[in-house]
Amino acid sequence: MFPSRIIRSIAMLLGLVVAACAAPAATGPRIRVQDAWARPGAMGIGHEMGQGMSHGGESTSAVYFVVVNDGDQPDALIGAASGVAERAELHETRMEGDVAKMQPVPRVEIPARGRVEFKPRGLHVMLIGLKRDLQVGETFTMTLRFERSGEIPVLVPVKEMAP
Amino acid sequence: MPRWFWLGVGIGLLFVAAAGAVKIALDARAESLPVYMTIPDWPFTDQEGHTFWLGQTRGKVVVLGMIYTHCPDVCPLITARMREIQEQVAAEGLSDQVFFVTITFDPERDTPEVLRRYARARKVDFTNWAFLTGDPSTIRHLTEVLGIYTERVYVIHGTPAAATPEASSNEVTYFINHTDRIFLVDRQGRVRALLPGSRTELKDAMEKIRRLVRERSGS
Repeated sequence: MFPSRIIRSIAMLLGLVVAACAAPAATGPRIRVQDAWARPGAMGIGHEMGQGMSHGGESTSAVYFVVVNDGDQPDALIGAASGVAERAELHETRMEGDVAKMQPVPRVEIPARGRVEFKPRGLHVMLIGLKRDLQVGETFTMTLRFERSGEIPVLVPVKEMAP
Repeated sequence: MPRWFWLGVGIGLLFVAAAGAVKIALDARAESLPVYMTIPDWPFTDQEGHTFWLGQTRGKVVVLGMIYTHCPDVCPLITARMREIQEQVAAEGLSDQVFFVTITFDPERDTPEVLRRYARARKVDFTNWAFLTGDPSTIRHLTEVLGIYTERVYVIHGTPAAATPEASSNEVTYFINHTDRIFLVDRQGRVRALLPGSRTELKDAMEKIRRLVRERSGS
């Protein structure tokens, strides 16, 4: 016969296993990125600007998409990168009356079972310093970096304006 | 016929005539767009590097926008709206009467070549569209005349800088907060409509452009 202490331990362990199976599984965030597109853009021409700042030749584009989180935990978009540009930053345009104001944002919260739209006159990924022209009909890859889900590659077609 | 019959006919005709006169007056009023300001005849440089006086556009209706090419979000929409209007103007056979002008408010970065590449990437038809840059003080004065608000915001490593940075860093860049607007200018160089820039509706813009095209030069 087993000692009662062992039996109690096995029963407790079984209880924990049963409880774990019965409780809803915490899956964490489940991120999807859809409907991505970017504006056309022309590579800079290396125009040098005074005051020591050499950003005159940089040209830009913007990437728009929808982030969907099917999971039961929130996540946050914390960065982006693409081989077509020197830098990719998270930005937001805000309209104050008829004045458009743009500002960098360090992170964008993606709520559990929610979605966040990156769209014209709103949130977007700004591509700074294009390394090549982005022509309508082309596609390129961009990587979005999430706090919990890690890096997610996105295929981005270049489209005419889709306001 | 009894006299009261002819009296009734006379009164009826008077009503019809009065109603017609009122309608004509209301139509004329509806045709007339307000005058906001006159565009100065100052020299700029077009996308080919040639001098372009704004007065060159006198005699044509002008669709005028101000942008900067490093703007990734709102300015491309302004250009897209103007291109949409340009296509509709062409479809209505008005291309020889309507001219398009885009002027940068970032002349330090927007050279003629940068403007040319920016426009080409957007498949702009240069037949009746000029992209202009120029002397920074001239452009600053033009923004003041037109009531275009501009404010530079410097950014270092993706973070807004508190003040104008002195650092010689490739990581330093700036954006420009700006008014989102498109102007319609009549044949005399007077601004007659302020459209909401990137939010401009094609139907509204074309309705006003047709009115300005109908106006006779010198009226």
